[in-house]
Amino acid sequence: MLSIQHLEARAGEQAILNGISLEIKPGEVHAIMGPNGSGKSTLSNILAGREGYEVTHGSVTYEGKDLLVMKPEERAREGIFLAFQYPVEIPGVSNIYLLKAALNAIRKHHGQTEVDAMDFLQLVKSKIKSLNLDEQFLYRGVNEGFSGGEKKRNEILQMAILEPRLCILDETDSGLDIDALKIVADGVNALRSPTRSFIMVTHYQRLLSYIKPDVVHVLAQGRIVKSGGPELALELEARGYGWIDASLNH
Amino acid sequence: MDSVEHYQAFFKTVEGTPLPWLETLRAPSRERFIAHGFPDTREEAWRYTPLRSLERARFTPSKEVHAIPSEPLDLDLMRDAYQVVFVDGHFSEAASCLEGLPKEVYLKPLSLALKAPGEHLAGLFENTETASCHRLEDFNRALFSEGLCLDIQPNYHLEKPIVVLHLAQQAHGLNTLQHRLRIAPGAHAHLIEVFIGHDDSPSLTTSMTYAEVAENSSLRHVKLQREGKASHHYSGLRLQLKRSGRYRGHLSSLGALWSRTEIHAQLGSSAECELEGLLLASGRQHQDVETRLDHCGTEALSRQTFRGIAHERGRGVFTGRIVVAPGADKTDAGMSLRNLLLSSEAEIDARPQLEIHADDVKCSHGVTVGQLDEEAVFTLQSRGISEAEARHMLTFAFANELIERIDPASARASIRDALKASLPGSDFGSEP
Repeated sequence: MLSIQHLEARAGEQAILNGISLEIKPGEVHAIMGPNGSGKSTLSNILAGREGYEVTHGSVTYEGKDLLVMKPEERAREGIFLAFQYPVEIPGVSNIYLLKAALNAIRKHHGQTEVDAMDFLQLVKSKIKSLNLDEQFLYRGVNEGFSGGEKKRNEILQMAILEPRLCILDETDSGLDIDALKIVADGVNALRSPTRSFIMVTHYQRLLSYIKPDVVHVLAQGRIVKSGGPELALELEARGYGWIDASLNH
Repeated sequence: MDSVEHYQAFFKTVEGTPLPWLETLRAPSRERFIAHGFPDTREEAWRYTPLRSLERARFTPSKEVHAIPSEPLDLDLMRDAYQVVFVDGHFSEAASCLEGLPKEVYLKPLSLALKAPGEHLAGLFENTETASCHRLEDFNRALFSEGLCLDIQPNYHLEKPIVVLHLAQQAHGLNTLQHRLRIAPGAHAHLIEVFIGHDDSPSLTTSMTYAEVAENSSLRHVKLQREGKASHHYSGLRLQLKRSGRYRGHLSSLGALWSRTEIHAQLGSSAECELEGLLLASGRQHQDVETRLDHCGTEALSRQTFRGIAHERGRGVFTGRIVVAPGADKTDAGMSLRNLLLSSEAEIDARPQLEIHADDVKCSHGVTVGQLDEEAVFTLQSRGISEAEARHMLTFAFANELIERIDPASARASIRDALKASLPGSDFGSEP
């Protein structure tokens, strides 16, 4: 589904990614862990198409297409979804409006008709319930005045409605208390399917207790320095990131 | 022939009314205009708003024979309202509807009222400041012969809104109106003023609204200016809020090539004045909104929230002045001006001005001029929405926060549609 080959990128003069290669097959859940500044968020942003980064080497192929030449909206329509680390507030655009506009843009791209208003409302209401959010929430501005946990749950709501093929969760666990974490994890687990893949970027192992990954990668200094099964996350939790850095410097 | 000579000829057509009080009102204005002509940019109040294009054009008062709308006025906001329609500055009886007006409400077009001028009429023209007019107001005062006269008896609540529609359809027409409102103590009224016109007929409409809101009475007001794209528009509100009088108004200035809208209010003790407004300047439009709130009494409250959007070569000017008179203690005045520039050639000048002559007051103002939040644009794109649509959505959202607060819903819908149609980018679908 996604193939990253020797990806190098920088922001301004600063080299951030120094040759990342990664293969993700349909249905797989990959966790990307690493200390602060290791390039985790940069990787997520480059995959989603955010401006401000220059890819200097390597390629990213998504479903056989060159991802890096696509506009952010084209990537979204092709099934890529980034759940933001810091979701922005968009006053004046209601949640329900955004959901409908986004869903229709994606449907249109696939030659489908606009969603029926009643069907849509029913769909949204069922999803919002499972994320333990109030219905009134739909009519408020996107993330406007939401708590940290509500913002993260809102990202998962969008994901559940838009049904992407590749979900990138950028530190979705940060700032969540344990109850909110469970709700978010349940939301993600409900979306797992043999055709949908996940990249979970996280600093801590905690999220991985709730969403079990197939593969764990450790990112440090812009490179994947170690890959393994879920047990790698536990090892990181026990030993910290220090030993990774130490082994790199040798 | 210069512009003063051109218009002087028309002054005669409104002279000779047998009403001394009317002539007393007009004479000083007429003389000032003849002596000095239109305001110019050397005057502080007009510094950013040149009148060159207005002065160069020669508008001619339109004839009454045209006082039938050239197309049906099927506006949503006309529903469930008393309707007063002026076509090219003339009252259109055929298009108006004043059916079922209660006896507590005196509501007449000025032209009809002048045929039987009773105490109501003279009373409505009392207490008009004559010295402090500027010369565009003088121009209006020298020429007006039509308008709305509204007088509501004490403690009467007129819940149904009065929609005053101004339609400009004659090319080069000059439409001059003056509306006079008096809301007696404890009474309530709801006024909706709409200005519309044809894009291909340049015209000049000047319209002044004088409103006296007595003790414990209230006035709600919505004004939508969407004149034709080639027209000039000048309108002003002169508001007197007596003790504990309340005013809540929304102004959307979207149309015309050149537009100046003024709101001047005098606040008595414990009066409340809430102003909200939007201006949109695109193409080569010039949009000027000027407010002046005089806090004359103690414990009065004022809130002003304005948003400006400029794109292409549009130019917006906002001047908000708050004057707190000596002794007007416990004044609470707040003003917020937020502006959005969508192109490098667009310009908005926002000038908050505070003049405080009392000690115990709370006055605040905030001004911002910025661009769209690129993080928000990216967020929308990352959900599949095109960049152009995302920008359109966010621009609309910037304005919509104010539109959502408009009452009644019919006016809200009408202004929302007018705004959407005027914003850059395509329509991005229906409301969910």
